Amino acid sequence: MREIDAFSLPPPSTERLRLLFLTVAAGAFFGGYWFLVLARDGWRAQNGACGQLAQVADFLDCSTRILVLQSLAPLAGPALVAVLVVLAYVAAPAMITRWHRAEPYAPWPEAVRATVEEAGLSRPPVLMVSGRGLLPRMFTYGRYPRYRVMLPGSIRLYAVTDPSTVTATLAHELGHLRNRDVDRTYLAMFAAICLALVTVVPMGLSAAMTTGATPAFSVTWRNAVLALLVAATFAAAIRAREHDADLRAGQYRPVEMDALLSGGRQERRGLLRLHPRIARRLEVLRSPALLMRPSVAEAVASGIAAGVIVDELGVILQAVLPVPSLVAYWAAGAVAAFPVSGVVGLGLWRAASARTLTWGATLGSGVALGAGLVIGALLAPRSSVQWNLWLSGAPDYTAVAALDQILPGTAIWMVAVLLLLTTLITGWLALAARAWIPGAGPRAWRYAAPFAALLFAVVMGTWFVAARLAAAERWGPADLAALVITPQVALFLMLLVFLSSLALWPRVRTAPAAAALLPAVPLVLVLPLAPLLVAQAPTPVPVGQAARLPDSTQAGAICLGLYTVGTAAFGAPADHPARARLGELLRDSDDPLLRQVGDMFLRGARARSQDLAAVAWTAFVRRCDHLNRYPGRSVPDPVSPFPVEGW
Amino acid sequence: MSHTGTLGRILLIPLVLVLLSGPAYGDFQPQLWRGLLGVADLPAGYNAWKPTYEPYDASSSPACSAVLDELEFSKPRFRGVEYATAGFAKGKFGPWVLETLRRYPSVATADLDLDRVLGVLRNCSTFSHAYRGEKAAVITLKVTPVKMSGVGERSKALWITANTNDSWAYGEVLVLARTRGTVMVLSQLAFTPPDAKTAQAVVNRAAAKMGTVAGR
Repeated sequence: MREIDAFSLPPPSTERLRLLFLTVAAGAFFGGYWFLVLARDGWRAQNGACGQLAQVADFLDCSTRILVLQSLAPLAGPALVAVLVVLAYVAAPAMITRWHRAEPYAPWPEAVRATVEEAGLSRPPVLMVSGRGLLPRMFTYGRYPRYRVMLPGSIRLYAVTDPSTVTATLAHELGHLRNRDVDRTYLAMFAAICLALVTVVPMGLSAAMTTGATPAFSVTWRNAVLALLVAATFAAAIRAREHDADLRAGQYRPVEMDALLSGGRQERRGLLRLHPRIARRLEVLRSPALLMRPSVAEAVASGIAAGVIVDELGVILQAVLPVPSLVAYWAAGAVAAFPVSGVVGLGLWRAASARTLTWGATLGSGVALGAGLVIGALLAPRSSVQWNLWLSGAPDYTAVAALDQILPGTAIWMVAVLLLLTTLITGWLALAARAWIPGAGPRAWRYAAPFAALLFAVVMGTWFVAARLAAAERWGPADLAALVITPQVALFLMLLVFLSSLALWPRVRTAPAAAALLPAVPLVLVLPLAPLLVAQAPTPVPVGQAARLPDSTQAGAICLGLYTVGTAAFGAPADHPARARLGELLRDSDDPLLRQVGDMFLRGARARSQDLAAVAWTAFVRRCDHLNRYPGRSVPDPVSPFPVEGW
Repeated sequence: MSHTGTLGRILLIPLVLVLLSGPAYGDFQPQLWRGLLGVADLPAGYNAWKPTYEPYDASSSPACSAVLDELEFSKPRFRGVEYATAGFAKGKFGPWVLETLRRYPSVATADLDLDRVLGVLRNCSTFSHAYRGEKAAVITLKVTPVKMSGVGERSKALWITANTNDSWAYGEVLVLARTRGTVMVLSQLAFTPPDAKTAQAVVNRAAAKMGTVAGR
């Protein structure tokens, strides 16, 4: 049997820790948004000042500036978590040393010296002896580049009576240093703790005091699940790294490691335990190929984390980046997609390099990833509540991608499409691995990873934009596909499909049977667009006849109409008469800014300018959002058409 | 004798008794719903519409709120009174027309109930409904008597305004009219009030149709 090198590719646990940091950042970002924007009445004074401006152009600039600032200000959340994490990380080594009343271990017995030298570390660690009672095991700590290994107080005795156990255990700890686990582990642990302390608990309390019980419960249980997920991810990544440390130690202390694990004690079992089962560790030590298998649980957890990250990050980038919403969401998707590719894709690639990859595992990973993304969208605290309904100062865009707001048929179609696409990407990765590894070796992963990440980013970004649209306006599948997949987007997607097919060319040359499958790939990728093709929509926005708004001069009534009919009031792209009608209605309104917006609609309709209409629409929606959130002026009651008389 | 023959005789006895005793109010009366407005009776553009009742969480004047619920949504319905309702809307955002006909056992009962309702409304110049939780809102209602041409044997017109959160407001022409033992409750609601002529025409037509089913 071929020798398996478990270290020919990086372990997926590294990327899992990166996903953990991103999840913590996303959670802390919403915490920042809560405390700095939502709980502060959405910045009433600043918004009120915008509403006082006489010119609609100034109003647009002013409200845009506030939107950007409100998107950036919550970065204080992740920044606070980062500061606390770094402080804890810097202080931890000294505190651990002090708490253990530890002293440097000297002199080193020969067996210990040999073990440290054989570990192949560029800088040997400082060995410390705990002076605090009976320490059951060794552990590593410290920070780059000065690492330490804490030894139990009984080390001097055991170094004489049971040197093989001591050297095997030390070799395992040195394996952690070789795998560069210490900094990542401590940073991840502090990040998880800070998320709970800085975001989950204070936000739950604040929400309970600010809003009703329902939204407070809704956001708190999601935050709690998110914190549990972060903790479970941390524990799972640490467990995976225990195997890697065992294998490192096993490279130069195979017999001792085998003996150590054969007689080892079992740690208490549980979701958050930090060590794998002893029997499992022994199995992996004897057969490293067991580590080279994709994990469905890993794929689900990665999907959940990615879902939460894209949901949160998409909102920031959409407000900050001067690009279309879809591109901003692709960028948000890319941030999550690289670690996702590093976890799920790398898992598949490692299995392919060890020749243990099966189609069942490939499809299972894809489906699990897609399911995780859906769960992540449901768990994201931002989407947990229709905030603008509960908090008068919450802007409309606060509620995003709330899946329960989507029409059931559309939601089922969207979930099915997502599962199909993530499965196709994992399928492509499996094919690419089989095509490239025989010629280029496992390291070809370096080229596959970015492309897989690009595919994941496009799928995730597009899906979340679609989810946001579907939640906002209750679109059907055909309308949604038409809204998101514009001709330019379709062209880009076709290019990706072409490139991904081209990447499989080496496989086609060596296995002609696989060539027959290639034409099927574009066909399967077109499937999600089937509703659009069936609908044969003549325009990209098949809203039909533009919906009319209330025939009233009251700005509040017109805006009520806007909230009821949504973008249907704007009409199809070429429906300039609809814009003219909208302009005439707004021109007679009792709000000076809406009157100017009406003039903009009329000018746009006369000039048949889509751009002017789009600007007018933005101003219209923003002004209504302002009036809805901050109804400062009183609306006069309508006057009776009949004279008043006595009872 | 067959079982069918026995059953036929048993059923025949109550049937004969019902025919001899006549309907509940002593003589035959036309069906009440025939006296409701139809789409053809209204200005162009109206379609049939069914209103939905959204219960409020609190009222500054429960008695006023109860009477308005009773008039506009027939909540609650009284035993011994026959009800028929119709609703029309001209588009998603109105104007709306709501009509309820009530047939009482006697003219005196109808008058008594009309007196009760107007007696409560007399003290409802301003009150408010509060909606809590999701979609929290406060709606301020004002009731004012207005002068319209009288219809039926007795009538009273009211102008009611509803202002929501100081964001938007609508007005309602509410007409209560009685012809014999039948009472008509007709509401014309809109963001922009209807002109007096159109509103009066709708009231006249509704009262005329009520008269065709009012009975004794």
